[in-house]
Amino acid sequence: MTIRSLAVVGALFLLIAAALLSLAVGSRSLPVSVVVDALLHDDGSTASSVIWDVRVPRTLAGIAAGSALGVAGALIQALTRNPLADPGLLGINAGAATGVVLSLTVLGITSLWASVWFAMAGAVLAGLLAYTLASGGRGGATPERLALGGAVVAAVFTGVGQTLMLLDAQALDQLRFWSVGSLTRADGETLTTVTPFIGVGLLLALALVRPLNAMALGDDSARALGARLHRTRFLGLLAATVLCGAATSAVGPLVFVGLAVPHMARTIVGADQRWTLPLSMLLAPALLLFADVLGRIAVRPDELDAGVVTAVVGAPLFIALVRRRRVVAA
Amino acid sequence: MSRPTPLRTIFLTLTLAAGPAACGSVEDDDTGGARPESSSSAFPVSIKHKFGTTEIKTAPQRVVALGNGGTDDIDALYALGVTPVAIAKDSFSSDGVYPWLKHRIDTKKTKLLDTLSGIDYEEIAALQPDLILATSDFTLDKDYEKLSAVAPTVGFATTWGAQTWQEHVQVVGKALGKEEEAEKAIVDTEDGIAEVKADHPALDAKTYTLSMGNTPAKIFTIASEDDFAAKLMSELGMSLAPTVTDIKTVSGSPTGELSFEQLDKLDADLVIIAFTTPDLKKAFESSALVKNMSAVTNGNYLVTDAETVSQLRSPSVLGIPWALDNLEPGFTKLDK
Repeated sequence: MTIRSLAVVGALFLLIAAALLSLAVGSRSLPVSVVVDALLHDDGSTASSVIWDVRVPRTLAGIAAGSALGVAGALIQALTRNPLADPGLLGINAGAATGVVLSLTVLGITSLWASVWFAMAGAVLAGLLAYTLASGGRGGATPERLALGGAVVAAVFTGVGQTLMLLDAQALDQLRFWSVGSLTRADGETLTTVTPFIGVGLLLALALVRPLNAMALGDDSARALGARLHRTRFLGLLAATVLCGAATSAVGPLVFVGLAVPHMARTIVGADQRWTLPLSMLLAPALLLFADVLGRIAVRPDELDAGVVTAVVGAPLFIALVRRRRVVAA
Repeated sequence: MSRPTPLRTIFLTLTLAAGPAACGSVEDDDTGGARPESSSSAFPVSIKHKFGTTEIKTAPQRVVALGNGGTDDIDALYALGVTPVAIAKDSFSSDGVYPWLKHRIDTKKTKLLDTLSGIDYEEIAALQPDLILATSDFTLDKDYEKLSAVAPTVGFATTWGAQTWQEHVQVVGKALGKEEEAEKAIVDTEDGIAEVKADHPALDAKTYTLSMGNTPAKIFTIASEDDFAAKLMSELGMSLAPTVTDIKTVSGSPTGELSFEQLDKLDADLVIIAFTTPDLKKAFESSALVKNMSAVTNGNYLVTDAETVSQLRSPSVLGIPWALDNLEPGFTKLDK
C-alpha cells in the first residue's frame, strides 16, 4: 500500500473515530453503555432523545458539511491557483448569508427549512455572478479574474445583507446567531434537503480531478494536454458553489475548514487532485467533528459553537502547518 | 395624593405649542397658579450621573426619551403625565409602539425614533428638545457628548442597566420637578405587584424558570437571582429552580444558556418561556426532555412572548403590570 492510500485509509478511520466520539460525548454525561443502548432502541427515554434528537443529527451535519466544505475549499484553491482561497473569496458565503437575510427581512420567513433554500439560491447567484464578472472580456475566467470578481461579489452581497439586517431588529437577532457556524442548527428536515446537493457536488468535484491536475500546470500546458479550460472552470465553480451553499445553509458560515484542510491534505499527499480531493473529503469532517466535541466539553454544561472552536483551535494549527513545512501549491 | 388634572393638560398644551421661542420662558405664564409648590420651586435642579452633573434650569417642556435597551425613561414620562416630543421606538413591534403604552402614546404628538442602528443627532436637534433622558441608552458612552450638545442630557448613574426601575422613575421625577408624582407612580406599581401576590398565595415558595428561545439548539435562561426579572418574581414569593442557578454564566452575567441535551434542567413548578419564531417553539416542544418535564405533564408550562420576557428583565414602571398580567395564566394554574 502506498503512503497515499495509507493516508486515505487513516483519514477514514479518523472520521469514524470522530463520529463515534461525537455520538458518545456531549454536554450531558451519559455512560457509553447507555449511549449504545439508546442507539439500538429509540424508546423515547431521556437518553435516547439526547442521542437521536441532538447527537445523531449533529454528527450527520458535521459529516455532510465538513466534507462539502473541505472539497469546496480544495476546488476553489485549484481553480483560482490561490492557496488562500476559500468559499469566502468567491462571495459564496456572503451570497448565502444575504439569501437568509432577505428571506427574514423582506419576506418575513422564519422557517429554518425555507431559509435553507434562500441560502442555496443566494450562494448560487453569488457564484454565477462571480463567474460572469470573471469571464467577461478577453481571455475568459482566468484565476486572477475569478478571485477579483469574487471579491467584488462578496463586498456587494455583504453590504446589502448588513444594510437589510440593520434595518430590522428581529432579523438582526436571528442573524447574530446564524453568523456563527454551528452544527446544532441542522435538524432532520434540513439535512434531508441539503444532502442530495452535497452528494451531487461531491461527485461532480471528483469527476473533475484530471482536468484540474492538467490546469495546475498553467493554462497553456493544460490546453496542450487537451483539458477544456472553460468547461472545467465552470463545472468546478458550480460544484464548489453547490457544496458551499448547501453546507452554509445547513450549519452557517464555517470558513476555516475549507481553507485549512486542503493545505493539510496537500502536505500529506502532494498536489495531485486525485488524492487531495478525497483526502480533504475525509479530513474536513473529522476535523469539524473533533472541534465540535471539544466545544461540547470545554465549557460544560454550556457549549461552544463549532464555528468558534474551529477558528480558535484551527488558527494556531494552520500557522504551525504553514511555518513548519513548505506549503504545497494548489 | 393625586396630581390635579389641569397641570397635565397644561403640560400637554405646552409640549404641543412649545416652539423655539417658548423654551425657557413659559414659567412666568399662566402656569404659576396651577403649579404646586413642589414643582415651581424645584428648578433649577441638578442631576448627577456617570457623565457629569446635568443642570436643568426650568421645567422641561420638550422632552426626548432615548434608549435602545430599556423603557424606563419613556414609561416614567407617561406615568408622570408628560407627553414627550420623541421617544425611541419599540423595535420589536410592527408599529413601533410599546404594547403596554398602546393607549398612551399618540404618534401625532410624539415622534417615534429609530435608534437601533445608532442615534440620528440631527433629527433630535431638529426637535429642539430642552431635556434628553438617555438612562436606557446602551451606547451612551459614545452618544453623551453629542446629545448633551443638543440639550441637557441625563444618563445612567454608574453603568447601563444597574438602576432599579424605582430609581429611574425618581430621576425622571426630579428632572421634571414632579418628585411627588414619581413616588406615587412607584407606589402604584408596587401595589400592583403586591396585589398579584395577594391574589395568588400559592406562588409562595414555588420555583420557576424563565427562558428565551431565540436561536436553534440553545435556550437562554435566567440563572441568577440578581437579574431584575428574578427580583420581580421573588417579590411574588417565587425563586429560581436550583437546576438553573447552577449553570455557569459568562463573567457575572445573570443569564446562562442550555444546550438541547440539558433541557430537563428547566423543569420547575412553573416553566415560562418565549420563542422568537414558531420553528424554535416546535423544536423545543418536540424534545423528549421537554415532554417529560413535570411542569409540561402537569400543564404548568407557559409560553409567553419575547417582549414580556424583555420587560421582565428590564422592568419599567408601566410595563411591569402589563408583563405580570401576561403571566397570569401561569399563576392561575399554580393556584390549583
